[in-house]
Amino acid sequence: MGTWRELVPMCARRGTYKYFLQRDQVRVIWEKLASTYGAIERNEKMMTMEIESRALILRATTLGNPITVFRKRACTDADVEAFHALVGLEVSTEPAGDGKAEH
Amino acid sequence: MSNISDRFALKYDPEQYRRVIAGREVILHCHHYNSRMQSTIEGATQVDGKNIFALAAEATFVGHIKAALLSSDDAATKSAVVSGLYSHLGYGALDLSQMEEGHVSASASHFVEGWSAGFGDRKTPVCTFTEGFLQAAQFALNGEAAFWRETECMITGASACKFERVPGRTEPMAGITKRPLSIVQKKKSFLTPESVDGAKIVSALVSMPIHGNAEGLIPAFGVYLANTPADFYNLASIRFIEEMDKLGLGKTAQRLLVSDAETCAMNTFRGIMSSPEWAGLVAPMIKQESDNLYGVVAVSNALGWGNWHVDNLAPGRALRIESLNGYEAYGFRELRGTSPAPQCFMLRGVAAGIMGLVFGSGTVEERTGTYGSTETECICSESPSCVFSVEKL
Repeated sequence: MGTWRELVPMCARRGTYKYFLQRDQVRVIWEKLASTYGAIERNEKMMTMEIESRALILRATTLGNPITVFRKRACTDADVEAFHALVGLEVSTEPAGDGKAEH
Repeated sequence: MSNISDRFALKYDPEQYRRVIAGREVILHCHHYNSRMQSTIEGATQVDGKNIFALAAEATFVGHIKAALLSSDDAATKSAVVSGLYSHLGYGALDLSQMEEGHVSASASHFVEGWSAGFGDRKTPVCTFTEGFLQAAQFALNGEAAFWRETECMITGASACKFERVPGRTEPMAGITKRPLSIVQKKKSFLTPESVDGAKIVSALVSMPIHGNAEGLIPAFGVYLANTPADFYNLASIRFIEEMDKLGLGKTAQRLLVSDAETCAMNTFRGIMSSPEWAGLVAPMIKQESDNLYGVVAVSNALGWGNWHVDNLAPGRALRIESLNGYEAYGFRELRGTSPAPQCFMLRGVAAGIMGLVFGSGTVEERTGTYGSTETECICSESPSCVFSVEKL
């Protein structure tokens, strides 16, 4: 099973998902995310890590998995597609948001 | 100008659980609560809710902005302090470069994001709070009393929010007159589960840089937070209830505010409990379902809501929770004095909401109203603390 995602309920931004990565891909994907979106910021007290880019906020515990992805107001469909390509998620269309997992 | 951000450094009082920014006590609430409260106050057709909301912001920020300014500041620095305070608190990004000419724009807005997330689009501007802030800013900057109106808003699809100064104001500026507080905070120890380290949760949260990002927004815990002065919440709530009371609807107003808080608690803490921050910090402490309630209360104490703790919990059935210095009670005492009836509608609603969240099932709508909350003692009525009794209905 590759990367999959679940809708996050009651989030500030619609279309916020948790992306679950394959265990052996976590480090590789975070390296790709850092080289694409910017440096990883870590909060040792909260045990979290995150990258904030123009369009997205990527946040996880220090385990790196799953990644909660917030879409900022500037986020476009192209930004989402580019992110999906980076984490290896294939989605044919954006769902209505029923909270079900997608593989 | 390089030290402007230093003026907004958070001062946290761990004894009182108080957050202070630029000399004023601030409360962290999220977009769910702020937008829902706005909807309730502005949606009441028989009172001028927009005026209540805007003037509460005006009265609050006249003093807050002045407290952030130095007598040695030049005009450019003053302007930078005003926009810096606004974005630091999490309300968005203001461009004040044409304020003297009567034009201000905003490229990001907490209230647009909040309303959009909670209620969707609308056809009229939503940034009433910012109108009041700008009225205060104008007065703090050059002593001019003016009204500001939002003429374009991102909630209606505009690319930015735009505000225009309305000339010819004759009404005096709103202000705040407070009574000196002579309350001695009750001292009490509370039992908590060994696994849930409330002090560690509070410490971690207080160390988080919870202030506006480059857009002046605070996306944290899956919600948009804002550091809002306690004075604003207290003024807006009290004035709303008073205006509704003139129509014989005071109790209705109170129930609406309790309901807002109940819904907010479920939405906010559901978001928080789904967040990476909760997963990293709190989730490892959770050993049984009821521990979630202690975790939620610890988080809320770090948000500046006051020093409240679980006093007795029958998991799923009942909760007794005690607040030693809630901002609503202290604020009411400062603004209005004592009262024969309890006045902590936010905490009362939140107490029911967190029980519904932790022990309920189904959607937020299905959980709403499944627990009833009563404030049985209140500092406003000269009790030593505020006590909330929650029971499953």
